Amino acid sequence: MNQNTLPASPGLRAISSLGTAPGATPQLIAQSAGLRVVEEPFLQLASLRLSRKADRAAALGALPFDLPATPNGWTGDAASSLARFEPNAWMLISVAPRALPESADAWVVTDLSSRLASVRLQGARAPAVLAAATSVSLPVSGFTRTLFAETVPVLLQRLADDDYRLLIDVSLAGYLSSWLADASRLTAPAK
Amino acid sequence: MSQAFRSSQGGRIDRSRPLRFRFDGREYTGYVGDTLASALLANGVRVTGRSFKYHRPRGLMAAGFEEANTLVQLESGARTQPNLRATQIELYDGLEARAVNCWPNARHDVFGFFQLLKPFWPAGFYYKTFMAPSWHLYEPAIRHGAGLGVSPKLADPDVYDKCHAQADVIVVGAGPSGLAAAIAAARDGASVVLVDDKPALGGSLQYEPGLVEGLPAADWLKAREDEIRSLPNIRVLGCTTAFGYYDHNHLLANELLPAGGTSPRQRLWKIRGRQIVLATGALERPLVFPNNDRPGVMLAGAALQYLHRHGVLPGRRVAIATNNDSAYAVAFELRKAGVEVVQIADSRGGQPAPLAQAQVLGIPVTMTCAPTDTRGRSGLQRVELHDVNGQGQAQPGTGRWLDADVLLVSGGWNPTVHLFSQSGGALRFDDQQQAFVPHRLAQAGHLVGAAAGQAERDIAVEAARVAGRDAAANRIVRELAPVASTAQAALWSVNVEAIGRGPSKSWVDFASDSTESDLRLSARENFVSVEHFKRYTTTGMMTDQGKTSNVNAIGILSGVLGKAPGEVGTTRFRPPFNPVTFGAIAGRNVGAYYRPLRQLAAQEAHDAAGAKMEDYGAWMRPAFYPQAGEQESATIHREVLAVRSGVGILDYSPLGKILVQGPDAAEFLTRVYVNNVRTLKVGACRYGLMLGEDGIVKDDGVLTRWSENSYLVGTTSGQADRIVEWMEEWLQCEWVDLDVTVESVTTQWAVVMLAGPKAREVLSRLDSGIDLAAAAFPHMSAREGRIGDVPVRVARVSFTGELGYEISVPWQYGLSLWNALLEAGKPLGIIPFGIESLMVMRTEKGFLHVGSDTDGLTLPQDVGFGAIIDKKPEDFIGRRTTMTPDGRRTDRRQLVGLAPVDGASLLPVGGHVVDAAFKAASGHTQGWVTSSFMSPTLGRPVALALVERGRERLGEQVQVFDGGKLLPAKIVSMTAYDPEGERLRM
Repeated sequence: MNQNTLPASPGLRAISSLGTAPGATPQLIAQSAGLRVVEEPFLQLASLRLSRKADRAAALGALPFDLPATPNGWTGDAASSLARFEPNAWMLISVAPRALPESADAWVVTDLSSRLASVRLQGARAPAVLAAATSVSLPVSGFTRTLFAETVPVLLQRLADDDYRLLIDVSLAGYLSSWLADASRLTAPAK
Repeated sequence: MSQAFRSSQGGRIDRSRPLRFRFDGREYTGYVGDTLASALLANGVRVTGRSFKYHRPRGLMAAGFEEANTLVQLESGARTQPNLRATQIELYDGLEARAVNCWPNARHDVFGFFQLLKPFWPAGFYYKTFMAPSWHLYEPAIRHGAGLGVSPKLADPDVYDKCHAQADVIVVGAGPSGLAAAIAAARDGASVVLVDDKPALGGSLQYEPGLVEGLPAADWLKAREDEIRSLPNIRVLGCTTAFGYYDHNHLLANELLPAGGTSPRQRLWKIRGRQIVLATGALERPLVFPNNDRPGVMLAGAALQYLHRHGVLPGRRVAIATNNDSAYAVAFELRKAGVEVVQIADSRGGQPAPLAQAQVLGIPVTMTCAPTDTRGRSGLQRVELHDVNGQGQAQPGTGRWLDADVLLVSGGWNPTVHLFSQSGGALRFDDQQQAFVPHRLAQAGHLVGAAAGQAERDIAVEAARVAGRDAAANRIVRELAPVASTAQAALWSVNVEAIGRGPSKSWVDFASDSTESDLRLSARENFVSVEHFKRYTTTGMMTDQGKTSNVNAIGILSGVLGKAPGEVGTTRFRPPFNPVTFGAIAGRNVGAYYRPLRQLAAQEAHDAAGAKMEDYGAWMRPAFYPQAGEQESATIHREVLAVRSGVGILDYSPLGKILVQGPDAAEFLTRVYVNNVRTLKVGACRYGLMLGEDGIVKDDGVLTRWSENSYLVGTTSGQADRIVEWMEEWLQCEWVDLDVTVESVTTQWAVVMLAGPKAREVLSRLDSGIDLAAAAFPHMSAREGRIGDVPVRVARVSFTGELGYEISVPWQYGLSLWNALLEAGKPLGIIPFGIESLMVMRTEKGFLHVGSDTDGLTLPQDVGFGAIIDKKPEDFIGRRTTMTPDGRRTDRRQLVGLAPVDGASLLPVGGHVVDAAFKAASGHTQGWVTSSFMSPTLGRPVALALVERGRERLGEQVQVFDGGKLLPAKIVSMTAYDPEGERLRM
């Protein structure tokens, strides 16, 4: 969900897992030479799962957008992308809201906007910081499910050479943030 | 002592940068570029350790990771590290170390008299002696006497890091062959990681003289270093020891980092390579002869390293014993450095190639000659030599003594095949080289240089280039062709029987203190398999993994058994090749990162309310909310009564939530649940039970049908992720015909539980658009609504026994919902309550808690699901077990209530249920107490228990046995509170 389209309730107010209110500046987790780690609050996230019995070609053709055909790949750009994370499952990741098909015979669409927190790692040191935690060397346009620090499942998206997006269960966002801040300090070049 | 054995020039040390250090309480100096070992040698320290079992004095025998004698305890306090090899510790200013396994120091060890007991403590003595009355009586004292270093007792203040890397080609070893392979692979475009345990490239080029491809070694190395710097696709990891080679070319290596600051102390690398080139070199074998462990007996190759790498002379008068040509080169280099080489004793006959040069240099050489004994109080002073025949037997009447302060030995070379063996590679014994050499590869890679058995440097370098190119092109090699080499003569041990002596002090494994006589004893007792004799004698089982002992031991055993060494075979080497600290293995997964704990959306509110947070299934959840000065029991008492009489609020977000959707969702869940799922109406909830394939109760929760093909499955908090994976496994492996998708939405929704007779009134103050009237929204049903624009889902269910609602909103609204409900309930006296109070209330009500009230034997009929199973026509996971004779036993333990007869005593959880006639602890247990609390509501204890035939014994008196005490109790209904369930239907 984009911060501009979050449901406005007279009674309830949203706040991100790292404490950012809609419209506020996202949490800066770490920033030093060659590295910027920042929260990406309130993304629109949804899984699109293809029904086993659906006519695959017809189902794919009926979508208003193209899905990546490559396993562990994604299409689009940092603002809006579709990533394939299982043989019959894709994930929409979007800063601005996008229309999605309703769950119907061919597709099961599930809103996961609240379930996953997103963190961006950018800069020349981003690969080194990430290498301390994950075993996957992704190509640009790669997207995969892996373990972070050998303990926590994450989804990892490489947006550019030095630009990564980590999606993690929202209840573990605090852990991830603290870990990355620590790693940033440990890997900082000597002054 | 002022570095009396330091040469005036040479070595890769910086003489302008002295370093002070302490060993065994004495102060010494060394230089930048020294290891602790080289600095000790330079200072003339001969006794650097004590042996493992017999506390014999030992000195440095090697210069690298094969050192078996000099293990030290480095530093003290929190940063202490036990059992490090002095040969692997780079010297730094202020270093403090002491020898392990001795007291007060290695020079004067009060346990030194143990060596007199050797005749009574042969290998395997503890299998035969110290048996009466029990080995365990003696074990602590023996282990205390035989131990090595001491583990740190304080928390390690340092940080250890990990790093993952990938490469097309990983090259292990930066000697000439490793460099050639790495450069060749990189030149062909491959990404290369080059790993070496030393800070500088070059391996043996750092200390071995001679030419490489026509250039002096130093010039050739300089050219390769320049070349590597020009190749951006080579990543060099120095001071990094590869210690584990696992499946799929996964290599583990440990990098030692400079001390100081807040930087990590070590970094564990996890590197995956398409191909791995092993250029791990070769290890020199010692010679086995009586008293070959005296300080001053050293591997010849090690002396060369100390001379050229560190500028240290091994001694003043050096004797050399060898069975191959390599030791001659050492003699020549020592001679050039001004050391007196008093004798080369060569066990071979004939005219070896270097003999002429030795004669030119005036070094005495005696052929068919080998050492048979040594003398010296705190270090070597004399060496006894005998003539030997072709089988290594000393000839009577040929003995003579030689004065020498150092005896350099060389018994031949073994390719360093440890990593290769770890990878699954097979070895073969090469008769020409008299060594085990790599044969069949199990993973994609190559072996080059001495590791492949190639001793000729130029040939090895060229072959390594070919291997590097092959690795870059990902060409697969299955089997290594034999390498052309000159014939070597094995000398597994010097046989002294003919001169009337035995091998009881002919040390084979210096680290484990095993001798040739131990090996012979092992064979006599029929421990002849390589696996058996290894364990019987402990040869190769110490921290050096037998790097200098294994092959000699196999050679000796082959002689005893009359078999070829290849027939005796080798054991598989296991990781780690070199000891690794636990700190490096743990990395940063310590402290708060040891086990990541999940946080609730309303964490901030719980903290503000003073909640006592505890770990429940990896979630940090409020256990209770104490007021100032309030004890836990008082808090729970207060919270329970407040809920029973008014309204309470609980953060229930961690409960597992799994969305099961698709046209076959009902069929799938019918197979997964004990309950009937098809009859569940849209908008209705049902409590359900899942079994494992073994029929044992696996999990439970509330199932909600949100639409025709969409269900929300509730699970326990700790099991949520496992249940998702388990469902996926069934769908992907067994029921591939079912059109169902499974999605975890546990943290998509934050959930707040409202419980108590005033819960409806509180909820009604938040305008959700849902008709909350009892008739419109009955117990065990669910409705959707909106609070403002925020979607809200409300399930009317209860785990407290009171009117209850579970209200779900998207996670980011969880905190706001919590605060809004607290605000709305303020006029009604709402209070937050924690998990501990919930547990009390569910026990009062007799609600099952899977994990507390079930164990690894509990079937559904044991917890009251027998009738449901009998009525259900469809099959489901685990059903078969419920129908086995064991499942149908009438004396199964069943979940019932227990009430203390005195109405006041709290029955202990885990206390055994026994009959009224029970007297002693050896009697039959009929079950045990599973949950037990003092009920604030009822003013008396309540308990649940699994009891044999419990349901048919309601009203019967039993006893609960715990800690020698017996408490009379009565078997009662599980439901102590509101048995008619009227409060749920308010």
